[in-house]
Amino acid sequence: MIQFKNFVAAFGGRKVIRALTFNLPANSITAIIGASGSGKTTLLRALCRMNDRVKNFRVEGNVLIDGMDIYRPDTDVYALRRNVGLVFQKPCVFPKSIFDNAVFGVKEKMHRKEYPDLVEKVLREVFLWEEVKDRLGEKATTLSQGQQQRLTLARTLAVGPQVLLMDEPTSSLDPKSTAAIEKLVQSLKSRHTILWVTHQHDQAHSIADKVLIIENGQIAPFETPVARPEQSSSFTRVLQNVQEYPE
Amino acid sequence: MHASIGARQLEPVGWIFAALNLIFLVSAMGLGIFLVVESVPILRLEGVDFWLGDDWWVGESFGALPMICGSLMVTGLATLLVLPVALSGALFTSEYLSPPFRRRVKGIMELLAGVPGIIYGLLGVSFLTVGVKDALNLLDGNTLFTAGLLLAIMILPMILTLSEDALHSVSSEFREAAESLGLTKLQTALRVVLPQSVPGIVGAVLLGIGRAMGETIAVMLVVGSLDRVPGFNLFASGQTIPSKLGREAAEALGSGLHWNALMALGFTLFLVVAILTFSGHLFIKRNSQ
Ligand SMILES: Nc1ncnc2c1ncn2[C@@H]1O[C@H](COP(=O)(O)OP(=O)(O)OP(=O)(O)O)[C@@H](O)[C@H]1O
Ligand SMILES: [Mg+2]
Repeated sequence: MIQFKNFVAAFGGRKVIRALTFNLPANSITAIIGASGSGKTTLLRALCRMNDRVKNFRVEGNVLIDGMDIYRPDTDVYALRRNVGLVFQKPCVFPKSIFDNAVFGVKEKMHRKEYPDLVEKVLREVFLWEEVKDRLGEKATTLSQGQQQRLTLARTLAVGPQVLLMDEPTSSLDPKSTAAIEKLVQSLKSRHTILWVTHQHDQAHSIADKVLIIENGQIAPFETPVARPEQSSSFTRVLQNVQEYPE
Repeated sequence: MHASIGARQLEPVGWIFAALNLIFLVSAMGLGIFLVVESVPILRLEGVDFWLGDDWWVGESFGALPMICGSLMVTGLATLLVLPVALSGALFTSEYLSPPFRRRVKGIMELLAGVPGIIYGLLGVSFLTVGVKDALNLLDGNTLFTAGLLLAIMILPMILTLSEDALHSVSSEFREAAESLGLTKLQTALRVVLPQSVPGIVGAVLLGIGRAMGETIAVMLVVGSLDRVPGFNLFASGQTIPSKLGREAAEALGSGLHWNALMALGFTLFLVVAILTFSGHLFIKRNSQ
């Protein structure tokens, strides 16, 4: 469960998020929609304190994850980040092998004998295993953009976060991989609390339990997905939209 | 890629740069050839023994081994001493200092890197030789060790600032990706930033070694200038190629074999430093790609 109480995030004097108050139940998918520059990425980064290194960044109010205020001075930031995984808008794989990328976050935490099983598990979870199982030793930078995006997701899952923050994870994917990731996220819901930033309204409505619209740093009231044709992938939905609204 | 090559071919400025480059290349080769030609008489007389001989008596025999060993030991020591300091300094500057402080450190390092060797030499004579002599209870503070230590101090700023460039040029996306997985700053620096800047750091070190190899005056003032193969004793006086050249070149000019022998020494040094510098630049270029 994630709770925002009068949460403010600002760069210097400019408040990007103002007085945000809402709760996200555990094991749910929440989609965040908003115009470019509306503060979606800022919100996600605030949740895993990735803006700590940004000099003039400051917060007010509270963010609680499972009742713990993550901005309390005694918070273990590193433990927090292992618990709250962030998948970036732009995939950034390390110039190492696919295998090493997948286990990058658990190197100090696990015995190396456990690596292969973990790698297979997380790569299967992101539907990448079949594509790369014969080339795990190759540089991850040789993968396609979409494969890299899935690898970064696998890398985050390997750490075992409870909360998963995804910043437009499908923006560089083709319809097939997009559908795969959407399916994946829905399968992850049973174990993770997921925040998903997207620009596509139809995607938000098709995958999320709740859709959050950010405007001027504030949240338009919760919108529950309407008209939710089950089982339709976003690809077919896009096709439907095209048919519905001919140019 | 193609477009830029095409543009460069058409650009008149490109031709000027190409011409200038050619001039530099020709001069460098001309210098090498001059050194070779001047050293032919001694090499014809002694052959490989020139490099293997350990006696240098003007009028009898010219053996370069003491100088070669001295140069290798002094530079090797300087490298060993400078590496840990330069690397940790570069990591600290790049990963932990705030931008204003970082700029200040860089400015100071670049300033120090440009200080002439003679200044370091004077400092060495004033403090280092005495310090080494007292600290190690030696009869004479002018040793290979002193020279190595002085060279380490001399090349530290350059290696530090060039390595720092390599570390700092690693995109911060990688740092963020690592930190988002729960790595600490130190783990990120060691596991992400450092491995990616290895080529640049190797290049920086090679350039530093090149400078140390060629340093004349500072070494001459503290090395003791004794032509003998030092064995493995760093705490004795010795001689390096540049310090030998610096001491004897003026008196040997026009004196036949002695001059030729010095030129052959010069050629040896030229070759080593050229290789070091060339590969250093190669590594740095690879890092920035
Ligand atoms: N490091 C920073 N320093 C100062 N301002 C920043 C910083 N990062 C983001 N901002 C500002 O915060 C605002 C919100 O940015 P944010 O990246 O959160 O938008 P976004 O909703 O993710 O946009 P997009 O859909 O384009 O990704 C923008 O006005 C941006 O300029
Ligand atoms: Mg964004």
